[in-house]
Amino acid sequence: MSSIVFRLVTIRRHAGRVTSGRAADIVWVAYLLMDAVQQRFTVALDALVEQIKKDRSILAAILCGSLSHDVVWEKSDIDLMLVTIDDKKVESSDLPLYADGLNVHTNLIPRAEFRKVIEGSFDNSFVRALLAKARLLYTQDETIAELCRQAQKIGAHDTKLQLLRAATHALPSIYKAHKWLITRGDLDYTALWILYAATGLAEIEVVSHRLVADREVIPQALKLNPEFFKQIYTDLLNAKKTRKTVQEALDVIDRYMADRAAVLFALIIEHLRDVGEARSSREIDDYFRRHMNVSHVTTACEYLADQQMIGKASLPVRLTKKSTAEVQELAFFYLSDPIRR
Amino acid sequence: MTSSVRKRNATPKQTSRSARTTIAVQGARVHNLKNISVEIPRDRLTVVTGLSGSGKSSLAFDTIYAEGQRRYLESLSSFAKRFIAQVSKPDVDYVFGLSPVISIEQKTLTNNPRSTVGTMTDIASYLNLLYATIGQPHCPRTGEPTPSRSSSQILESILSLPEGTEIELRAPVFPIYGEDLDVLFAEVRKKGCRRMFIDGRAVDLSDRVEPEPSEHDARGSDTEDTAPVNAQMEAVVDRFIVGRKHEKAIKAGIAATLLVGDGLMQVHVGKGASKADAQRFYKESSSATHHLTYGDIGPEFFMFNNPESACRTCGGLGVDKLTHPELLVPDPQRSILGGCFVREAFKYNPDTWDGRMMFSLANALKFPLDSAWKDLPDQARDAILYGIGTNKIVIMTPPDAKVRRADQEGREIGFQGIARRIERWYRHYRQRGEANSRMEAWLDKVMVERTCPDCKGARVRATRLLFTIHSRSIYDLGQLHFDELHEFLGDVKPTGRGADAGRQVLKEIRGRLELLLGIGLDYLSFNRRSGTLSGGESQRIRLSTQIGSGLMGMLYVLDEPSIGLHPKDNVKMIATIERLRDIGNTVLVVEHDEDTIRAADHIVEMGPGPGVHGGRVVVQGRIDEVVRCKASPTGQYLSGKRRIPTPRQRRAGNGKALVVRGARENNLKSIDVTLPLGLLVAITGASGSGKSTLVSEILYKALWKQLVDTRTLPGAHDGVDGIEHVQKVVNIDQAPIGRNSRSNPATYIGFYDTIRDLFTEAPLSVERDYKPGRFSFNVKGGRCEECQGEGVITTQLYFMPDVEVTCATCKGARFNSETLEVTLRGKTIDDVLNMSVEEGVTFFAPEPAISRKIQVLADLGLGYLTLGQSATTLSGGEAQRIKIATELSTLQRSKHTVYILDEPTTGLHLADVERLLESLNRLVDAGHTVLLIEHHLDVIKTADHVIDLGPEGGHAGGEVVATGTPEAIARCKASHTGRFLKAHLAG
Repeated sequence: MSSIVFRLVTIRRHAGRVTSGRAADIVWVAYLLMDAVQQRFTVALDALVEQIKKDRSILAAILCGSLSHDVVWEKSDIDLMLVTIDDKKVESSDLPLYADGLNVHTNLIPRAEFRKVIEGSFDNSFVRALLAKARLLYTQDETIAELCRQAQKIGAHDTKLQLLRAATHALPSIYKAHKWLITRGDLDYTALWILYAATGLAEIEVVSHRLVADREVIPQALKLNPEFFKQIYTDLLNAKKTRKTVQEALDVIDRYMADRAAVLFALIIEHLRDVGEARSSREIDDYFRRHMNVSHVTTACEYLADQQMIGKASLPVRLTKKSTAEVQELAFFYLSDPIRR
Repeated sequence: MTSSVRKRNATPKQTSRSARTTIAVQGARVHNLKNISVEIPRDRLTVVTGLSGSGKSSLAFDTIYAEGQRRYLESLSSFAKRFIAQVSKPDVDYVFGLSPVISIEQKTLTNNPRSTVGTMTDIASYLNLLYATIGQPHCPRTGEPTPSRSSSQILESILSLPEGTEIELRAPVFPIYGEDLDVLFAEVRKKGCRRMFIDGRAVDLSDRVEPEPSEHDARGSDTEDTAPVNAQMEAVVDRFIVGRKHEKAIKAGIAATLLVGDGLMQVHVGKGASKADAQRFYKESSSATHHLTYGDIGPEFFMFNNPESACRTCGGLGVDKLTHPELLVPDPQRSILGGCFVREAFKYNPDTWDGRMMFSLANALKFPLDSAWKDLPDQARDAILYGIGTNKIVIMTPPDAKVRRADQEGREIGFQGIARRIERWYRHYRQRGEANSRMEAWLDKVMVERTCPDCKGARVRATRLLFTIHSRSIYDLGQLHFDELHEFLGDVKPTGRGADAGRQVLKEIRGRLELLLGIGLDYLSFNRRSGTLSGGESQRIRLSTQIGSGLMGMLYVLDEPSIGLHPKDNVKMIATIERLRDIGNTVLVVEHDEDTIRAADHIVEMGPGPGVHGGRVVVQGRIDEVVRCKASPTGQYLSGKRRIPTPRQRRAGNGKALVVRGARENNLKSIDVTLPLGLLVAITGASGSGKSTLVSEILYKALWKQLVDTRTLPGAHDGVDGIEHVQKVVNIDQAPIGRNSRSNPATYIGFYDTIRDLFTEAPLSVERDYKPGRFSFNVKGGRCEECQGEGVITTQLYFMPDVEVTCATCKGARFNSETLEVTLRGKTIDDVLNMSVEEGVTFFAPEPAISRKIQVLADLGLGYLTLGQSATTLSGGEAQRIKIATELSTLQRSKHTVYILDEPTTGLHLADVERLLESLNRLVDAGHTVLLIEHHLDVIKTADHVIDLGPEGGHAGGEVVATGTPEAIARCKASHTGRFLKAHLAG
């Protein structure tokens, strides 16, 4: 009983720190209604934020991670992003704080850099995803609030880019899975590669729905396409693996990719269509890496060629500076519709 | 040469502690110096002269300069020494009275394409500062005046708006030459900008941006008939609410915007400010139409060597590479099937993609693959090289292909062209910074330089050229010749902001220009690449820089500063050297020029002969003492007792001629020049008048192209007639005959092989079955493996100069003991290589094939050289005479040869010049043509025919002033050469 009273008093005291008077009572009631763990985190966070508000070099506090949009557990940390003033003496840094018995991972980021992360290229999808689901706790600068709202909007081009990245990420695992099934008949190892591919496929699913992919993207995708992910993920984990089930999982993945290939690899197809002639794999790789920060596009090109969506060609190359002999380098070109004669 | 350390036997002599008035050299033994002692007066102009190889440079550079430099470097800390190449101690007992020493040699400083006359003279830095200070900026869109402010001033302007005003900072962006707009958008996005305005239309770069038709063609083209469209684009960098509490954020935003906008920005005033406030703000701080402002413009904004300012296409080089059809198709007589293309560019193979493309193209355009390239229609050649634009061809499999590609057949595809593909690869490697990629070497084979189509040679981005002074951009100023520039800057009177600083900078620039004008370089411009300067021009630029430094108490050592100077400019050069002396320096000049010798306060003549016959001081003192000295060859020439005779009769030639038509490369004014064959012809004219351009860039390359390599590209001209009368062309320059000790006169001229054969026939060789390779120091077997045939061992030390010691195994003989057991008439191979040319003539008398060639060397005055003398120890004049000897020894009367020599008298004493003329006349007497570019009046007067260009240098030159015999030139009043020649012929 005394522990309950003590707890109620503690919560009331925390509420008083956050605000005062009638508002404090409302907050106190809100705390009481929360799950205990969640409560503990929220109380600690609120207290910390109150302290931070007094720091004039901190412009805004943004809550990321589980506490912002998901369920926390006892061993969760609080992930906090603090936007700082722009000053030579203030640099980006990470700082582990301690708030009422809880670990707070704090990332300090100057405002100019914060803006660049939000508005810039979709290179660091992890950070962007983090911010897309984050919650602005407070800000002294209204433009930061606007930027946070922007983070949640992902345009069509960025979506294509994300799809391309996810698809090129998934392809090698899919190939490996096929290889191990065909060459070794190793069901377990094949299943493992399918599970590796599942993350990329889940990203494809989520992004295709114009949603922001979580770190834990597979559960997200399971809700959106339960039938597919049950077959390639849940069943492979839980059910007994037979050649039939593994083969069927691979087949359904192949169909999944093939049905979406024109969308997933739209940027590659468009690029080849625009250049109008064959390009070597090195040139294609280089183009996507330099302009879109997407690597290993050649794998995707080979896939598209297998699907007869682009053509395979070759261009001459010398292996070294001293080489006099010429060999042929893999190249690709846009496949127009065949001319009917 | 091996430097050895000797013990000092005697205590060095020293004068009293009062200030020294001389530089005293005691016991100099470098190279051929015979343990000499000499005194050079301080604060005076001293000329060191003497025959070629007599020891002048050994005294001036290898002893005095080297010791001065060594002593100075010794005083540096060990840390500093790590970054400097250490200098060996010269072989001299002691040198008293040394000052810090600077040498100004003739070597062309650099072939670095980023080095220009402007960067060499540092005036480029001052010009950059001038433009940053008083340059008037203009709008890139309208050309109207646009203000330039510091970021602090921009911040204050923004903060003067009402509190709570919403503003947007935008950066104008421009299409990238040669790239789609997509590339620009990706770049803008990478810089952290998601939103843009394109012609006033807001776009989100995270969505697909579909450009309007007028925007879509914004890419520049490799063909020059497509002009980029000026779509007005701004990237939205940041948004703010005006207020002092956001000052730091706004300041950071301004910096970010200027970065994205490459120095340009725009502030858009939104809600919270009245229209009047907004108008006031725009009026006070931005351009009228588009509200643009330049920010934080410093000198680095104009530097082409700054990656942020350099032209994006050429990287600040001013030139780009483009394929040339003649280089891609060296043999137009061949067909495509027959391999008319350079192999690396294209090789027809029906089983490759390239082969299928070519077959498909041939089918579409209806041209045969087995017709000679030159017979193909223009349209077909154009398409093969430069593509078919946006048209498509149908893919077909050639009938002789082994594999049919049914998946490809019938599909349409574009074709960019072989030449365009190579250019794309070149750009690809350049962008990736793969300067030494596997393709680089052969790309050079098929590509030529052209002016960068983006910056038009300006080297910097277009916005830099929007800053003007009296309507001229920094590039325009760099194109002006020094005399024009000096006049232009004289009219510039800075006013307003930055006027004081501007005046200071102007004063500095004009002062430096005056030095350059004073040294006869009025025809140069700052944009001129350093690699295109002659050795003499580079030297004079450095000279003017030194004078400009205003240093006193220095010792300057100069190497023939008169080289490349017309007599009319020599006067100015001498005045400049005197000025260097007058400001309190000691000047030591190695020279042969008579005017310079006469202007000297003190003369030291080395000799009496070259090589082993030299190395002594023949006479030292004032000019009258030299003239009186009977042992002095220089004195004999100065007094007139000895002279190069003027021919009594001029040759008539063989009746044939080469005619260069419409020569217009560089400053040549589309001139026609007739070169009669079978004569000694001199091309003369003021420095920069176009002599080297006419002879080396046009005539020599045209002949070479016709006779040797069709891929050579001569300078701009209409044609050369009469080439059918010439069978061979040889350019005899002063470049070394080899780069290391493995090259020597015997190997270069080619009689060393015969010597080796002789040794192979020796009884011991036969017994041991030795082959000719046994007697080569380049091949394992006979050479000393300890030193690998070098004769010396070089040890690299960290903080000390490299030490060379004689190989302990072979004692410098270069061969192992077994090989040295073989003798030819009592001489080993090492003995033969150490034999002088004079000795060689006698020794090889029984072998006429060898002795004839060695005799030629002796005739050219090179009797003192050893047969195995390392190429690295030979002077330029010696190297050139060895090349002449090579030609003389292989003279063929049947093949008419044109010999071209550019200032062959460099480094030659008058006595050497006499011998040179004798050898050149032997070539002409054998029926060939010798073409000289010369300033030396004694050489010009002996020519059968003279072609005088000018009348001045640079833009004021490039015309034929007079042609004819030297007497005819002397009569021409318009000719500067004629004026000096007249006096010379009369004297």
